[in-house]
Parts: sequence; C-alpha cells; structure tokens
Amino acid sequence: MKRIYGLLIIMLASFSMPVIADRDQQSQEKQQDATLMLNRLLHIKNEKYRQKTDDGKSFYNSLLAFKEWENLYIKYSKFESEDKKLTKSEMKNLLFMGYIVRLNRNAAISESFSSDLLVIYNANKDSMLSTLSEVNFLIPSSCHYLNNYFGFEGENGDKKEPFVKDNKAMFIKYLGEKQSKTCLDLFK
Amino acid sequence: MSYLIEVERNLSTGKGKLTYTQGTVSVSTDCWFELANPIPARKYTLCSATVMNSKKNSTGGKREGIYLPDDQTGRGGIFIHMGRNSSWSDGCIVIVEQEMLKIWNSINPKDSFNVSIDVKNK
Repeated sequence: MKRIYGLLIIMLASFSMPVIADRDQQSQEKQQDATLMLNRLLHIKNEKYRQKTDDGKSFYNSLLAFKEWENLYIKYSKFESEDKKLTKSEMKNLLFMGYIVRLNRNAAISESFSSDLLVIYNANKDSMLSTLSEVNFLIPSSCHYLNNYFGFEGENGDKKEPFVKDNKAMFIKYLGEKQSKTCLDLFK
Repeated sequence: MSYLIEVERNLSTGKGKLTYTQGTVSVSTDCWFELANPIPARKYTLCSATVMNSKKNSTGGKREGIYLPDDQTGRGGIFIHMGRNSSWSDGCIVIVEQEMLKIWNSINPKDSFNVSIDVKNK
C-alpha cells in the first residue's frame, strides 16, 4: 500500500511540476515586464546596456534598450498575431505602455500605437473600455492613439467621423459623460 | 567603415532635404519630420542601420530604419525611416521608401553604431 502511495505521489509531482515551473516562469516574466515599464516611466537606465566602443569609450547602447521595449510592445499588442484578442491583463499592460510612451514621447513606439491601437480596440471593445473605466488616467493617451489612427500614414482620414458616430454611445456607456468627453474631445 | 547622412530642415514647413553619398550610392531626397517637437539640430554619432520590428515596410517585411541614440536626441525611439509625408511621423524623420532602401542597403554591418547624422536648420 505504501508503495502505491509513493508511486501516486511521484506521479502527481511529475504532472504538477511542469505546471508549477510554468507558473513560476510566467510570474517571473510578469515581474520583469513590470520592472521594465517602471524603469521606462522613471527614466532609469538598465546598466546591462552600457558598453564600450572599439576605441574603448563607454556608451549606453540605447538601441538594445529600445529593442527590449519594442519587444514588450510586440508581446502585448500581439503584433505578430492575426488574432488581436487580448486578455484583460494584456490590455492593461498595453495601455499602460501607451501611457508611458506618450509621456516620454517615444517616437517609433508612438507610431506603432497610432497604427495599431484602433485595430486592437475593434477586436476588444468591451475589454479596452472597461479597462479605461477602471483606470481613468489611461484615457488621454489611449484616446490620443485611437484618434491618431485616422490620417496616420495618410490613411483612414475619412473614417474618423463614422467611427465616432458608431462608438460614441459605447464610450458613454462605459466611461460616463465626463470621462467619455475627455476621450471624444481628442477626436475633434 | 563609417557613414554620414546630412539633413537640412526647414522648421517653418516641416520639410527638408536629406543627402547621402557612399561609393556609387548617391541620394538627395525630400524628407519630412514632425514640426511640433523636432529633435535638436546637431551631429548625432553612434547611429545604426537596423530594422523596426513593430512596423512593416511596403512588402510586409520589417521596416528598415536608421536609429539615433536616445541620450543624444533627448527623445526615445527616433529613426529615419520610410514615409511619404509628415503624417508618417510622430517624431521620426521620413523619406520615401525607395531612397531609404538605397541608403539602408549600403550601410554594413547593421546595428553597428557606424553612422553619423548631421541635422542642420535652414
């Protein structure tokens, strides 16, 4: 009997260990992402990117730092994926990134948000609007990018008016009169 | 091998001229930038030809760009990349794709801090 229990415990452990390891890895990844966002928000440089030129001069490799930041955008925006459905957590992270990018005026990632956020909104209306209703400070940056989509890279300029017309009621429903006005005023 | 790109901007129009010569490659083309908050006029060193992984080019590949270091521009993520007018820019300098590719293809190796960009105002 003891042997059977022992075997069962080993079997259960071998089944659950990859799950625990996977959870640990996910949790570690989330912490790394959060650290990166805070560092970006607070302009804290990651010293791992400090390097030396061929002639021995020290310099900060902001290109590598940029690529790390860009990879985070690619991850949370599901840039490489046809399916743009985001979890609530992914949505919060993405919109928080957008807030930081707007605050710090990161040109290239701002351009990515301007191209992509409206497409993401269309695939996640409930999730994006309920996130904005929970985290009001994300409204100005998010709505800035949604508006920027129209006319960005010379496209979709004529679609702004129908978009506002079709979505205004939903914005009001989720954000209320005052906060939806903060958002919709950016479309003027 | 080092490379030099020159940009002469008109701060009242948001338009300028970008020139580049390297061996048989010679480019002199219009460029555009965001008027609201242009990067300072100066010579930027340790710039690199690279790809922008979160933007696509006209064939669906990764967008080619020349990166300018943040600590010199005082901004984040400033590139020279493809674009047909200032509506393509939230702070970057843009030139038409065909000219961008001529420059980008002639710079080797990539990601190597071997490009200088001299930005002047008219």
